[in-house]
Order: sequence, then C-alpha cells, then structure tokens
Amino acid sequence: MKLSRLLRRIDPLRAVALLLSALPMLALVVLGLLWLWQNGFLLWWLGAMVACAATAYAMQALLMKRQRKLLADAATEPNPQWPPAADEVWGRVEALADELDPEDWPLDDAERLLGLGRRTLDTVAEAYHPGVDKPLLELTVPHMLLIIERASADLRRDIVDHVPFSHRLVIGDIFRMQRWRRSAEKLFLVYRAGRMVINPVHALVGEAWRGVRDLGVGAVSGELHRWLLSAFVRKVGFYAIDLYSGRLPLDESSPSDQVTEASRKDDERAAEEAKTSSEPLRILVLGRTNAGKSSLINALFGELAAASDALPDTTVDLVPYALEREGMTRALVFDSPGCENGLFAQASFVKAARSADFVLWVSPVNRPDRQQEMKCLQQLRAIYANDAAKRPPPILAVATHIDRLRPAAEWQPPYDLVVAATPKAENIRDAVVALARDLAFEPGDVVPVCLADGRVYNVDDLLRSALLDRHDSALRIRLMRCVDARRRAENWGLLRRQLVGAGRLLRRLSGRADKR
Amino acid sequence: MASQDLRNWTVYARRLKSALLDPTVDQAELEETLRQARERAPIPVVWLLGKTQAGKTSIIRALTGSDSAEIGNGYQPCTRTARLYDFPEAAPVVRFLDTRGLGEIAYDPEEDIRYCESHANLVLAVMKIADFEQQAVADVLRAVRRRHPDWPVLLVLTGLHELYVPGGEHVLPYPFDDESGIGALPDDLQRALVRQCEVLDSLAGRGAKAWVAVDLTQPEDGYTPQHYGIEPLWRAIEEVSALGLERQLRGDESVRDVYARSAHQQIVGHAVTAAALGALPVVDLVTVSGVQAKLLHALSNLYDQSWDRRTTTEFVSLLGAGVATGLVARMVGKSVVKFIPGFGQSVGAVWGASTSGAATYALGKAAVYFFAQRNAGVRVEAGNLRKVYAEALDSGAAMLRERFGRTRK
Repeated sequence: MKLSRLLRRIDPLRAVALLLSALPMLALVVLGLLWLWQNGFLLWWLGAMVACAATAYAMQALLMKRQRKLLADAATEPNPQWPPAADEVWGRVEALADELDPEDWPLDDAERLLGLGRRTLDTVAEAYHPGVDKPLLELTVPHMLLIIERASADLRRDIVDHVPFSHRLVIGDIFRMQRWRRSAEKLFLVYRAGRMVINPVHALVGEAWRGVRDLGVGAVSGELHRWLLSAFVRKVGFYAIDLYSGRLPLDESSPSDQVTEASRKDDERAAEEAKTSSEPLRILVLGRTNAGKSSLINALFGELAAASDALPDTTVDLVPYALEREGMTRALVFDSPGCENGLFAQASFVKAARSADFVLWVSPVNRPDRQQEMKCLQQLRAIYANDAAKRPPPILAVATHIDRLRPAAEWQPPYDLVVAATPKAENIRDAVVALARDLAFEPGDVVPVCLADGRVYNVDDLLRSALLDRHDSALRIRLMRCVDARRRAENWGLLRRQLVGAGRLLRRLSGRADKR
Repeated sequence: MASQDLRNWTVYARRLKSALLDPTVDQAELEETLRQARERAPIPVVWLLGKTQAGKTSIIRALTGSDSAEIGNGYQPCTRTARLYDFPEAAPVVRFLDTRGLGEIAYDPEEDIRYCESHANLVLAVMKIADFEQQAVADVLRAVRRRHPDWPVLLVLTGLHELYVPGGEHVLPYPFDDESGIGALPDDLQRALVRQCEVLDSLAGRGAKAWVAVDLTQPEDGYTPQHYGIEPLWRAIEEVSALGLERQLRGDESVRDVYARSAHQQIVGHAVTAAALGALPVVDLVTVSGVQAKLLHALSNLYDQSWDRRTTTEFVSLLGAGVATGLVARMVGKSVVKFIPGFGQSVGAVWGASTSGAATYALGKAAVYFFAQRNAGVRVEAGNLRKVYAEALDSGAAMLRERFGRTRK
C-alpha cells in the first residue's frame, strides 16, 4: 500500500524516462545471468555470492565485537572515593542507564535527551533529599554550572576517544546525514520494488544479502546508540552524586594537596620545621598496655622517637610523631596509651580514630587474655561501621613479642612460618593464628614481629610490605578526609565573608542613622 | 598380755594378707567409708589465682613433680573452667583449685570463694612479672581478704626471663632473698618487681602475705635450672601457710628420685585417709587393712612388683611379730578410748588418727624399702626392715599430728 502510494506520487513520464535510462544496465544484468545460465556457471556464481556474503558477515561481526569492547571500556565507573552511601545511589543510576530502550530516545531529538538528563538528576537528587518536594533545586548555582562543565569535558574526551571520525564530523553533518538517510531509504524502497518486478531471481538473492548485511550494521548502530544514551546518563549521574554528596569542591586543585587544620597543628607539634607540601597519612597505633606500641614506632623510625619501657603508662596521651622515610608517604604516627583503660569512651580518641587513615593494632602474642582487648577493638570497629559517610581505614594487626614464645631462650631468626620446621616457628605460627581468631582478623592481616632491643625482626621487610599493600586504600581514606575538611573550611570561609559583608552593611546603616 | 598380743597379731596378719591377696573384698563398702572419712578430715585446698597462661599449672607440676597437670603452650588458655586437681588422685594429700582464666572470659570469683570457704586455705596469686594488667587478680585478692582476713596469701611472680636482656640467663645464686641480690638484677626486672608487689600493700587482714619470684620453664626453653626459685617457693609456702605441704609432698631430704617421691605422696595420702578412718566413731580392722592393702598395691605397681602369696608371706613374716605387737596395742588402746563419751570424741579421734595413720605410713615406708631392696637384687634383712618401720612410725605420727592438729582447732 505504501508502495502504490509512492508510485502514484511519481510522474509517469519521469518514471518511463528513468526506466529507459536504466534499461541498458538492467539488460546487462539479465543478459549476464542468461549467459551464466547457458554456460552452466549460474550455480557457481550463486555460490560465490553466498560465500562473499558470509565472509562479509563474519567481518562485520568481528568489527562489532571490537566496537563493543571499545564502548565497554568507555563506561563510566563509580568513584572509589565516594562514601559508602553513594554506592546505593550509583546503583540507581546504573539501573536507569541499563533499562533505556534506544527506540524511546532518538538521538536527533534534543528536547528528549535533555529530559533524560533531567530524569537522571532527579534520580540522584531524590536519593539524597528524600521527602523534599523538588529535590533538584537542592543545589547551588555555581555547583550546577560546575557539573555541566565537568560532564561536558568528560563527554568530549569520551567521544573523541571512542567514536570514529568524531573529530571530522560537524553537528550539521550528523543532521544532514539523518535527513539524507530518510529520503535515501524511501528511494531504495522504490528500487527494490522495481527490481523485484524486473528480475525476481536476482532480486531474491539481493534481498537475502541485504538482510544479512543489515543484521550486522543495524546491530552496531543500535549498540552505539545505546552506549551514547547510557554514557550520557552515567556521566550526569556521576557528577550529580559528586555534587549532592558534597564532594565537588569549587576549587580546582586536588583536595589532599593542602594540609587540613587538624594535621597542621599536629605537624607543628611534631616538628617545628613542618613546612609540609602535602597532607600526611595519619597512622594510629593502638593496643593494650605494654604491647609494644612505642617500640613499634621506634622500629619504624629506625631510631629512638617514642619513649618505651617495660613498665606500663609511659604513654599517657595521644602523641604524634612525624615519620618520613624513603618509599613511604609522609606520615603522622600517633602513639596511644593502653586501650584497656576505657579508651574509646573518650571523645578525643573517637576523634582520633575517625581522622585516622590507617590503624595499626599492636597485640602481644604471648598474652591470651584478650577479652578486654577484643572489647576495645569491637568499639573501634563500631565507630567505623556506624559512620556510613566514610569508608573504614585499613586495620593491620601487629603481633609482637614472638621471641617470648616457647622455647623461650631460643632466638635464631629467620623463621619460616609457612613450613614451620622448628618448634619455635611452629609456636609463632600457631600463636598468630590464635591471635587472628581471637581478635577476628583475617590471618593475612596479622604480621608477626619482634621489637626487643637488638632483636628487631620482620619490621623492615614484612611489616613494611604489609603497610605498602594497604597504602592505596589508606591514601583513598586520606583523600576523603581532606575533601570533608575542605568542604567544612569552604563553608566556614564563605559564611565568614558573607557575615563580614553583612557587618559592613550594618555599620553603614548605623552610620547613616547616626548622621541623622 | 604377750600371748594375747601374739594371738592378735596372727588375726591382723591374716586380715592384711587376705586383703592384699583379694583386694576386691567389700570394695563398695570401703569406698563409702573412705568418703565419710574424707568429710571428717578435709583435704587442704591450695587456690591458684591468676590470668590464663600466668603459670598456674606449671606451679602445680613443679610442686607435685607430676606430669598429670596439663600445661598450656604459652598462648592458648588451657583452663576453661575452674578445675580441681586432687593430688595424688587415689588418696589425695592436697587439692589444687585452678581458677578459670581471669581476663579471658567474664570471671565471677564468688563461686570459687564460696567453695574454698570451708577449707583450710592458701591463696597463691600467680602473676607474670612482665604483665601489668593485673586488675582482675588484685580485685579478687582484695575481696578474698576482706571476707577472710586470716587466709594467707602468697604472690608468685612468674616468667622472670621475659624481662631479661636478650640472651640473658638466670641470676645465680637466687638473688631475691636479700636487698643486695635484688640490686644485681636487670633494671627492668627490679622495677617490675616493686610495681607488682604493690598489690600486697593493699590487702586487708592479718593473715600472712608474702611474695616469691620463680621461673618454671620447660626443658626445651633452654634455661637452667629448669625450675628456678622452686626452693624459695617451698619455703615461702611453709612460712605463710604452715600446712606442712613440703613434708607431705616431698618427704625428707633423702627423698629425691621420682619413684621415691611419688611413693611418698601415695603413702602420705593413704596414711591421711587411714587416720581419718580412725577418727570415725566405729571402724574395724578390716577397713584399715583395706586402706593399707590399697596402699601396698599402689606401691607394688609403682615398683613394678607383684603381690602374690609368696611375697605377701615374705613381707609380713619379715616385718615380724615385734612390729605387730606395737601396732595392735595401739589399735586396742584407740578402740577403748574412743568409746568413752565426750572425752573419747575428741582425744580418741586425734589418738586414733595418729595410730592407724602412723601405722599405715610406717607400713608404706617399710614396703618401699622392701621393694627397693628386691629391685636392687639385695636380700631384705628383717632387722633393717623393722628399723625402717619403727622410724617411719614416729615420723608418720609427727607428720599426722602436725596435719590434724592444725586443721582441727
């Protein structure tokens, strides 16, 4: 019916002229086929055509696979520095991106695409401000502008990297292509209909080949379409989460480039010459009395820094030490008193625990009475678990006093704990396992060391490599901490400026009143 | 009188012989009587108080010389609940109460205090000298002394080597007895000692309190001597408790080898049981000879010898009528005194205790001599055996008088 309407719209004279001009070429097709048939080559020819089509299809499939991979690589991933609460919101964004049907969102309809962006923003805004009537409005104008800026820059990069010829095509081209494509399709339909009438055999073969080809190309273009849509949603969602979780600072520089206020003070306490260029890692050393916390710090420094003694209570307060060693990020190491005296009830310790990027839990292997210790550790873990806005820092257990295990007088390192050939090595291994079990640590998170004078063992190699293993996640915690500190500082700074401004206004007003 | 004694002797010898050869006779009845006897003569309880792995079990092992006390390996609690060690198991001389691991699980000392309340007591507070988290131990100690101001408390500081300089050895001779000796100790050890002993100052009551430092290691630990400070520990126990534990568990100076020591503990245990039997209102020769038969069987097992008819006859005849005379005279005297109302209840009990108990003790010592001679392939001289018996009768009586005189006020 469509065809008849089309035919009716075409001038018969023009149709005849078109037909006449094409007749010699069409005749060639007919004559060629006739020749093939008469010489018995027709089947060969058909076979060759099918083989070519199959090969072409395979190549299309390969291309499609490569393109798919390229597109998959360009998918937007959630930011690992987001607080745990953001995971759920990101899940919603991904769900939205996945359920998009390319049919519903044609690329040439800018209005609809903007609507899709808005829907994404709404999804994120709703998650962060449930119960607010218009959650989308819960953001400031500078932040809104920033989000657009960031998302645009990212999309530009992605398109240049992943869409072929994108740097040559202008927008007009795309639109022209769209328009041209639609009229071309119409003409092609006429051509196919005519061909069917003139040469049914050829037309049938041609139709079959076309079907095979379309399958490939259509899939690829659909894939691209789907990718563009979901990349768009994810990109907007990503920055929306950054924005609503308050992690998007207006300042461009990296947040951990500057020292937070708290660390600055500690830096000053640790060393007068603290002219630091970057935020240090904050390492909190915790554990029971006489576990070897101060000795551990001394061993890490390689020189005497903290007071350690056989008698308890040498450390009565949190004491920071600046640790600078090659191959390690500059760190502030905090020595603490024994945890069994109800440490975590104190606000200062809760604060210290919250601001730590790394926790070293020092536990003596030769003291199996771990009830109190476990209680402290549980409190510490609860502090982190209850803080949904932050990821917990890595906690490494340092098992000290391994030299005091039986046989007590023997000390002949190195000890191979995997094979554990000697009774001492066997006891060290079993003690470490018992400690890990009692304090609910993964066995891999417990490092056996000896810190006694002249017997320091496993600190420079095993402990240090364990620290380095967890270095990246500690840095991530540091970054999150810096972002929070920066945001607080920014809020206070703005407020102060605004108040100063308001103060001037008041003064002017009162000045005017005085004059009167 | 002499002819009657002789007749009695044959009766007694026949009973002992039949009891020895057929130990299953009246077993249930014997056990029941023994149970009653133990109630009358309670076994002293030594209460070991300390955190898990403080070295409590090592102390039990060092004091008794017995391997049956389970020793932890230095990091795992081996004592999950309060545990009683009757020592020796069959005929206990002393009972150790090992507390649950303080600090390891929530520990309520009330139950243990109540248990110990009715017994003669000595509290051994065991602390690792390098472990300063002793709040839990100190709390229990203070509670105990508030409720029982005259219970003796001995603070035993263990694990001295943890505060030696790396590679350090025991300081010999044992330096903790006087001021100048302590001055020669490693600095950390001295200060820790002062610090740990502070808990004694905070104890109320007039009962004796003292401290002693020991280092009870295992052979593979590589420290010599393995039981560093064990003599001072014995001395301190005798000083604060007056339980005569050393005499009962170790015997005299001559008792040094493991067999003889173990035999001595068996003998004391059975003698105490027999003495307790003697304190019961009605008790016959059969029961006492039953206990003695048990003892002789235990000793023959220890010395890897069998009590067949021939050995029994040989032993009993070697012991001779002269020994039997004294023995039976005492038996008769005891029975008479016991039935005088009022007077007999107290004096008779003590006297009965020392006679049947001392006889059992002497019999055991004579048997040990008998077995040792036979094991060495030497012919047993009747005169020597009787001399051993006679001496043991006196020392056994003295030991029992000390024991029962102190526990019954």
